[in-house]
Amino acid sequence: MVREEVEKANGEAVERMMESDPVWVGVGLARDKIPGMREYLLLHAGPPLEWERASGPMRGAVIGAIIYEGWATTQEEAEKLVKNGQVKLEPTHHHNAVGPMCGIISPSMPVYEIHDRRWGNKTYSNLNEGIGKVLRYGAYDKEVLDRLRWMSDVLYPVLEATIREVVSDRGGVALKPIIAQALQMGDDCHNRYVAATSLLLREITPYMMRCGVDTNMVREAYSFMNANNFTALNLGMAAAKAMTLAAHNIEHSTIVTVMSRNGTDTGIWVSGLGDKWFTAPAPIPRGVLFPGFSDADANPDLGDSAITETAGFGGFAMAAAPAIVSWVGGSVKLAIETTQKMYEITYTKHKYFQIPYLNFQGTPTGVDIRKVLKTGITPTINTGIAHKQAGVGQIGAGIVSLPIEMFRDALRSYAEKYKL
Amino acid sequence: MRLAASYIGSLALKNLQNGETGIVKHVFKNTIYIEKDSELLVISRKSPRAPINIGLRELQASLKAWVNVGDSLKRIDDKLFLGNVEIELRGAYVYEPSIPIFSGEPSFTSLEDYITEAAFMLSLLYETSQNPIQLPATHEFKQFIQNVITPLSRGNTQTASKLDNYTPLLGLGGGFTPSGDDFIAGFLTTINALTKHKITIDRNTLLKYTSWASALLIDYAQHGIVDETLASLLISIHDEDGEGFMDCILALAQRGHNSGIDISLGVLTALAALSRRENLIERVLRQINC
Repeated sequence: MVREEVEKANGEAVERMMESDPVWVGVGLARDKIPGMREYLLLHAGPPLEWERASGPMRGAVIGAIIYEGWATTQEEAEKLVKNGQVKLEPTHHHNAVGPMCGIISPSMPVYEIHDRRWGNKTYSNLNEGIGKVLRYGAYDKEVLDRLRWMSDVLYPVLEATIREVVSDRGGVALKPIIAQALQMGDDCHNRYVAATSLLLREITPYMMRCGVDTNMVREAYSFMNANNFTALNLGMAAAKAMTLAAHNIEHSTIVTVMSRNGTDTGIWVSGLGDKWFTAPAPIPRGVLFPGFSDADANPDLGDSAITETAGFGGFAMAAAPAIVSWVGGSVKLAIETTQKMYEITYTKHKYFQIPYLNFQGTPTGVDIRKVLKTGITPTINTGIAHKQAGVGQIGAGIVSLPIEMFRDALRSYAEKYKL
Repeated sequence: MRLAASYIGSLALKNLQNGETGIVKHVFKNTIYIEKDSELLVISRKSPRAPINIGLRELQASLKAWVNVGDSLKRIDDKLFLGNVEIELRGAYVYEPSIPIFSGEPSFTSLEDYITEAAFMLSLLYETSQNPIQLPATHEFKQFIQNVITPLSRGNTQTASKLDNYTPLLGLGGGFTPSGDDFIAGFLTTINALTKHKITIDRNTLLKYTSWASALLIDYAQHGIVDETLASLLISIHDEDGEGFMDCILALAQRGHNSGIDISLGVLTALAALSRRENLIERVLRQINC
């Protein structure tokens, strides 16, 4: 009977997701670390995207990465390389990688390497640049590129030496306990990483101090990471990717294992349906905008960061993060209601991620496409808001609900694959 | 509390003349059920639209905060007065659904794969339900297949019309509109819309076996008075529009705890029976794990 198989498969998928044990074990260049990474390839967030359909910020980020790599020196040259196919674009998820917002990863960029100690998978993410005018929001002027080069020249060697020390001492930095603890300290671990960043720095600072790299570089790296409340975001995302990857490709499972957006489309993967994308137009987020910007400036939603909600935190854990409403808008009541609503579309409550305000209930975990279709409720994502024009960058943060069409298409595809 | 209606269903308009009153029978967060001259009038802040409904413009608060069971409804000119609520009717449009007219023997060969796929999806959605009963698993449903679906598929409308075959399902499952009622509503809507051999259950019998509101909803449905989702579903069947059919089934499935799934099941089993193809009946029943 299919229904028993579905229950069994979904139980297995969420169990694997929750029991995943992602550990930060390395930093290296994308070309050396990410499987399938090669020259003249750029990875981007979300489902597959052709240049012609790319939004302003995505175009900006692609242009910036091409100039950063030295494949072109001007915007025009960069655009030409993509248009004539010399530079290829592929989704990060096709390489077990994730990146916030535009999610652009180029071969020379340093990336985090995460090892799932429980299931053996490896996942990757780029390093966080901070907020405002940054590549991941589509900005690519000198300030942005200089910061990327500094990250490569200073931050990368410090982190690489640091994590080597950590690994030799205790195998790496376990990320699940950091996320679990941060959720109890007021983070949602998608749009608020204040506690997680502090916890991360507490773990690695002793190793940073003795990593053997020039002390000025170490001081600069530490100051940069400490000043950026989103330092831990990319590690959290790569951890979430490891968790959801562990739940992927379970035959008969209706659990969602990827939710992501590229600024034009939003897309999902479903465990029992392999790497097939189900897409719909990306919605425009609503929230709190920086001074001087209006709703009309906002680009449709962007980023792989919805991998956090896919793994059972982020927007799904908003009730754990009342202070986040000052960043994404709404009220504390809305934050609590959002989490409560997500219980209606998820398979279980997380064993390890708990919400103090809800009597330490586990977070809603494992979006089930059947429940989305049954209730008409779609996942709520906490997100950043990019300006729709290339080059401007971040203009705010907010909340977005994913379109139901892709869940409907997924269920129909499921029926096609598994019907008796 | 002052509210405004966005639309008035054609039957609601007909049933609510100036100066006349009704009594509130049930109040939920989004919907109020009112008895008016033994007919049902629904005031709702949610879709879908229906001929017996009055739709409210956007309202954040629950209707329960403003209206109680036993409150009277009165229409004075372009206003409705209901408990502590005043509803402005001016500016509301009249909603009249268009139900397709089927002629001759129903034929929907091109929909067969969609019907099977929809049955499979319903079985998946049943699994997510918190409802204590799942209709396809009940003895009453299996009896209905044997006593109604099988004869109907063989052209035996007389046997399929026997009232005794329907009453075991009426009221089955509890809740505001019990599972059995929802199924019967979907089944009779489809049978009566698609064929000239009408099968109806008289209102007194309905009232004897199930709750007042549920009985009236079945009564309306069997006479083709349905909401816009069901109307769209019938149109998709008439047009043999498979994609539209699937969209309507999935939209319907979202309704209530299990109501939409049970109504859809009624529609699918009716279609399978009317197809007169045993193969399709078998496929549909196998998908829903009977």
